[in-house]
Amino acid sequence: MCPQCGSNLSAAGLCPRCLLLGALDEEPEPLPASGLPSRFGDYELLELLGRGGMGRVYRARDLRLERVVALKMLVGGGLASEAELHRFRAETEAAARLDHPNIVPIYEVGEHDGCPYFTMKYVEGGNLAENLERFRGNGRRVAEVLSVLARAVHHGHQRGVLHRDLKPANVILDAGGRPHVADFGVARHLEKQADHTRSGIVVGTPGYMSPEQAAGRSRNLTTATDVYGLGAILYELLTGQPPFTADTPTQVLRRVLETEPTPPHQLAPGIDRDLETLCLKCLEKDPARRYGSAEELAEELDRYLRGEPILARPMGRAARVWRWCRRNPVPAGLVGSIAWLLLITAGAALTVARAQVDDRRREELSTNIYAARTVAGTVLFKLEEYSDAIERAASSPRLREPLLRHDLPALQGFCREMYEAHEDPRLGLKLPGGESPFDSWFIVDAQGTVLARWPEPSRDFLGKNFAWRDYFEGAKRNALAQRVQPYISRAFLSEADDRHRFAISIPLLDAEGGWRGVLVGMVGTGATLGSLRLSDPDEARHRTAVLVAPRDRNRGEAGQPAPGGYIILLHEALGHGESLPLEGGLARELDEVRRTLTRTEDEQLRMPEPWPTVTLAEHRDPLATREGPWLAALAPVGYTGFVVIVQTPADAAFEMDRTLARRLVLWGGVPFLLGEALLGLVLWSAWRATLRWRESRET
Amino acid sequence: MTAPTRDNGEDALEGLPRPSPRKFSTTRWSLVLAAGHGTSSEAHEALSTLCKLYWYPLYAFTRRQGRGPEDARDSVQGFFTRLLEKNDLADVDRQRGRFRSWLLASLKHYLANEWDRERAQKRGGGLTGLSIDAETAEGLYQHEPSHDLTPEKLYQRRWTLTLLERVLSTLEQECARLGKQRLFEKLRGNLTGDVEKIPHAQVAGTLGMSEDAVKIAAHRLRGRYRELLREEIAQTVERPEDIEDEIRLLLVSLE
Repeated sequence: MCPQCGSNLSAAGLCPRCLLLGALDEEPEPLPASGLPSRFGDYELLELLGRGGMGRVYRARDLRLERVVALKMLVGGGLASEAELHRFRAETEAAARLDHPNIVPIYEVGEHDGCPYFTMKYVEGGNLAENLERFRGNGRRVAEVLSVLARAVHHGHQRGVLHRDLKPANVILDAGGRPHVADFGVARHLEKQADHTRSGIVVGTPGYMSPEQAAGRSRNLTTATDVYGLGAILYELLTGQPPFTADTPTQVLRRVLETEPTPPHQLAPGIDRDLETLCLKCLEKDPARRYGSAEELAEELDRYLRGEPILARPMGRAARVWRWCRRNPVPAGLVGSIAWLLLITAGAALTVARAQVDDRRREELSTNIYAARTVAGTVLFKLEEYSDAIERAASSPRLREPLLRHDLPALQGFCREMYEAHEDPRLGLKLPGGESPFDSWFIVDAQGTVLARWPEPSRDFLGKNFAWRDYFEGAKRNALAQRVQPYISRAFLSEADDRHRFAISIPLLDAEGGWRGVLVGMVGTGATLGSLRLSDPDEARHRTAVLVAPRDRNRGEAGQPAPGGYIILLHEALGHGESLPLEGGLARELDEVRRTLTRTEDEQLRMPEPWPTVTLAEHRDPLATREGPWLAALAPVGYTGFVVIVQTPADAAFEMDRTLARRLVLWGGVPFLLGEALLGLVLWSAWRATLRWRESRET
Repeated sequence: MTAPTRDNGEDALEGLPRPSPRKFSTTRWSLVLAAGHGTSSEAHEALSTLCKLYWYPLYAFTRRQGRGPEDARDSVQGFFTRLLEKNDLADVDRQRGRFRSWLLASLKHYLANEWDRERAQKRGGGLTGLSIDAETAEGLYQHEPSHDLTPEKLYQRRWTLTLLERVLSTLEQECARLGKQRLFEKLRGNLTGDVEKIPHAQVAGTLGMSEDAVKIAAHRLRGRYRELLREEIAQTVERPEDIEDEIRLLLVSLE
């Protein structure tokens, strides 16, 4: 039976009714004696300023020194263990030795009636948490306050005291708006013992806690923890909220440990990027990546205030990507492998393509070498045919007789007969049908003076001397060597009709071997050599052949050594008798082809062994209508000095590869890009959904 | 208890709770309510914890309805199984009121429909919910006054007593942890407001403390008790404003 209410119920031996009634009305504020104002040791308690955790703060008057102080007592002190008390005292005494204008000084540490307490300077004004709005949007003001706080914190660090619980509520603004750090080194005692194991109802915000604290590594905290705290204050001043928020403290702690804070500019647009960079550097998860000391932070803030560039760099794209990868190893690995695969594939494709191009070029050139030799052989055969005709004509008695008699009309008649009846086997010419391959026939005497020519020349042409011509000199060399054999001459511009041609000459000897003259057959330049067409009839390949010959001297150069340079004898684009001199680079290449051949007078028409060739990957054809370089192969025509060039356009050679590449792009690249776009779209919308989900959780 | 605990005294979570509650005023019951029908694992855990604390009042209710000890045990166990496993007592309105009333309404609903009762019996019941020590339950029930309380009235009263006993035991454990068990023993009588039951001077003499110190200690103990009681009640109501009201209702249950 309860003596107070008469109830006979019992809860653990106590009257439940009285227990509940007792909870219903709040008792007057607990004071040792009779309420405020009251004595507490040497202090008179004037006003309760606040309570939290196990601490209560009073405005109190120090009766000995007659000054107003803030007195904090550990309300749970009566229940605190001895070891706890000892540690509290030691640490508070260390904090009491701090002397800095922006640290709220601790005056005295003591214990009264089993209740530990300490007093500190009473600073009138609110704390930073209550004044956040005063700083919003004012980056300079924020930086100024932070710089002051950082120096104060650094002061504590230099004397071996960590704050451990920096947050806006622990910064007091005095009447002048100057910030003061409160609870330096003692904060944890004030918050200690609050039984968070029963935290279902009210739990504080661990949003300012550093990752190392959140991970429970509280025994070896360093100054970096306070740098983090300063960063957290900066973050809240800039954005109006702690770095990490969530519905439950456990979630907050998880975020502190696992996620990066939302960049301040996303919460409060218009924030100075330098301040944001500073702030995020303080909030780095790895203590080693934060500022090395609070002073460094202060200096950085001062730099910002002076308008100088800050030293910290915002996290680069690469660093952000790297962090994302570390947080999301599986997708990162996947993306990495795909990127690597693409890179390798692209590299391989490029290498293969280049090798393919080289192969194609080599293949084309070797085909052209083969073709050049074949064409050269054909030309050689043709020249041999012509030479035979000349040789048979020279052996005719109808030539020898008039020559010995110096019967010029008969010689003229002979030339005409040869010119007109070149197909007549009775004359021994046996040349293939069509036009005469010989432009004209000539007979000169042993001094080089023209005796006869057909077609009929102008009157003053007869009697001209051509002893300086290459064909005469060639025939002369043969005559002196007693060789009755034809000579294939250099190409020249004819004085009779201003056309380009070359000549086949043969010495005319009498029965005693005396040299009486030279018979000359002239062959003009043009698109074909007689009926011989050199170029590949397959238009698609564009393979063409060109015949060039060394140039003979002109009359003005008589007596000088043989000139360099070449002219084109046969070319698809060449009209009859036309030509074009070739000089410069190509002429040097042509010389190069001939250099390996020793020119022998007696065996001009022999197949060279070995047959030298030169290839040109960047050949320019002066007569071609087609632009661009050619792949060309050069082969000498026996020992005549003539050279065959077989050429194909370089781009036509790669046409096949280009077709292949186009097909690859069409059937591989286009589906790939479409797929990627689709995938990107899916990922993007998933990302958006996540963002929305987070936002909805945060609001 | 669901919040993380550490016992090294240097705990990083030492800072909790903070003076400014701000947005973190989540109680177990509000968690369950907020979760709605598709209960999250967190809410499920909260619900489970609450059920573990308040199973006995349900047992007493069922017994007083006239069921035998085994029947009552199976019923309550089946009910919890259904509640925690299936979580589909959707038609019992959670949106209004308190956990206390909701739990009883749900039980009544369950008993009326005999949902899954057979199944729970066959499986031995409560595999995922909680297992009820039948002997303890029945032992407690035998001590219930046998007069004319209705099952509902008995449930409400048992609820109140369970709650108070729990708060007292928590407070005692807290004191024990701080090595102040003797102080608690001496001063627990003070919790009913009966200050003069044991004169402070006498306690002071026994413990070697000053009378003032005892006075302060007793006051703090009462303060802490009030806090704990309010916290405990807060776990079962929807809004903090409901706490006072709930205390009054609990008082009514004792009459």
